[in-house]
Amino acid sequence: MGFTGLYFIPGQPLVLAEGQSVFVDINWVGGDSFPQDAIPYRIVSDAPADELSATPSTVEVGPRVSNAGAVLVRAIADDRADEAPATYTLEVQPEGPLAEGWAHDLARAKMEVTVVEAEPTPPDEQSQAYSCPETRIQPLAEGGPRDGGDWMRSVHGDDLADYLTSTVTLQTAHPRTALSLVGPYRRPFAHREMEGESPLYRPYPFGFLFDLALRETGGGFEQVMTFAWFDDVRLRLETPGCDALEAICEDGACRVR
Amino acid sequence: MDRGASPSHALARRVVLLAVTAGFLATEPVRAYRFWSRNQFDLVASGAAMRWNDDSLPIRFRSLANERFPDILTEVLWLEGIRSGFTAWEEVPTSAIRLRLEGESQSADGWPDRNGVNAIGFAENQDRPFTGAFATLVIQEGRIVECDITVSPQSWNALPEDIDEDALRARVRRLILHEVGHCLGLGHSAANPMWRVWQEAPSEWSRNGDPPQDVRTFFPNPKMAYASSYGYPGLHPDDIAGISLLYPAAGFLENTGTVRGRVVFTDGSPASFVAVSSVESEDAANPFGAHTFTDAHGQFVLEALRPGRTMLWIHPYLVPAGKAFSTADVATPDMNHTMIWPVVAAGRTLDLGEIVVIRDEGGAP
Repeated sequence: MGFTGLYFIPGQPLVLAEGQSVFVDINWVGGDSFPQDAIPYRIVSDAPADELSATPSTVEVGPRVSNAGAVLVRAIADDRADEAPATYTLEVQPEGPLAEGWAHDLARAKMEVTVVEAEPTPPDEQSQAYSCPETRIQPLAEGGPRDGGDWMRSVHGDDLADYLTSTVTLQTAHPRTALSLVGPYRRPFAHREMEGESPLYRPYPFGFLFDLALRETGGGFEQVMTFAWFDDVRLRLETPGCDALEAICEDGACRVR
Repeated sequence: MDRGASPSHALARRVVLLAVTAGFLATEPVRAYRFWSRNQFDLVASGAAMRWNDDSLPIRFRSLANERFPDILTEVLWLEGIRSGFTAWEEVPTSAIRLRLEGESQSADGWPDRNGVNAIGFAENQDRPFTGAFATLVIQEGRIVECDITVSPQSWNALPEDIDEDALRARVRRLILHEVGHCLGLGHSAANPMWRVWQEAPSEWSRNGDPPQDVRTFFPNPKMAYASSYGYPGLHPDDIAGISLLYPAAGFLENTGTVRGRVVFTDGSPASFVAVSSVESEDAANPFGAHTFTDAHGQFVLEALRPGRTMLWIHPYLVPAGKAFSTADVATPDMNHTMIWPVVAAGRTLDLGEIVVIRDEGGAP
């Protein structure tokens, strides 16, 4: 019983910059047998409330429960400029009784968290330093239909016998730019449905990428990729502080809006 | 929490993990993601992963001799295949892992035990029927202390009698690569978010048909993924990253970087159990690097990244279905694929904060 999960490493403090927060799990560790459904545990800390918080302060933990006892650990943003890192302890303390014959083994009951000064925001992430027109996406449809190959036909039937390609070029100087593949990207397994097989599985993707090339462009980067698609494809490019751009390919041609 | 004042106390500290091949784990992928943890329901970063102590290296295995050994195999082929699989893990230059196959075979029924010997062998059990293979790990005080690899002879006995020796040897090697990976501390990893498209693929792949025209890129899957690239002879960068994180060679950790963050939907709810894959375009023929998964809160820690700008491709978790890659309803949320491009720094952890992805409202076909 104790701290577990992505952010707990025994004997090693979790480092949080002021303003950062993570979920830390408190869980039953090992074995399936357990004498009761759940036990409340209290989370106590020696950290000042204006430095570090852990919420909620009480959690219930039991067997076979995934992430039952998660707490949000947050380093409070209070401008630690020039202050040395400070390390605090979080501790799990049982509040409820255990069934007769059982004892708490709190081998993972303590966790250290070191609070450090937040790093300054890089200049190119600051909105005033960034110009939205510097983010561009250019989809260019290429040639005509290409043979999808035997394997694709064996899975999808004649629906996907041919595919089309577009070269998509993305240019941006903003490090938080994100590209999403939106719209339908799945195709039914027609033959599976006809054969009455389980609908559990959904085939995807309906398209695929190849020939990826990434290069720096002096303050930004350029990502080129060849996108193979069938009926249509829609990509959404989002950059903080800017209008989203959409690249759409359909009917053998591509456009941006 | 252990049961105190009980004869079973010592045993309760020993956790046995079962790591099975793809066919068994289609509905509960949260078990055994990436690394083993003391609690199989948890995702952990490499620092909290279970591994062998350094003084356990080289890890020694014995081959089991019993009547379950398939007629189609010879002992020579079997041992050659095992050694070939061991060599692949040992040749990872960024890892210090070392394995040995001891010359002495051990006579046993092959079912996993706790006798202090790491064994590889064939077994059947009418009470617990299985196909494929699985690894059984014995854990003490958070460390792996024993591992047995148990193989069902069923599929081997169904092989055509005229199958050639090279194919058999390669089949043993594939099995060993995956199961030994489990023995070393690797759980299952993510498949690439792509069709397995290729032109330079090994000939064995051709049984599945020709690739799409003009596709020049080969996207193998990790050996530890559910959707393994069975015919691909080498270890994938994700396998290499995993073993290097558990048993790093000198300088490896200092020369790679880490990215962490939390993937959420636009309504703030977590994108739980989705895959986060790194794409390092410098190797155009095999661009996918290390993968990881988000936990129940949408959090991820992706380690062993090459410094510099890297594409992170966030996508639904994949499991194999027939000949295609598919998503399983129980495994991963409906979400649209999203790519971002952080800059990784060697020896440091970059916190990306929240990454917002779009829920796929398309519904089931």
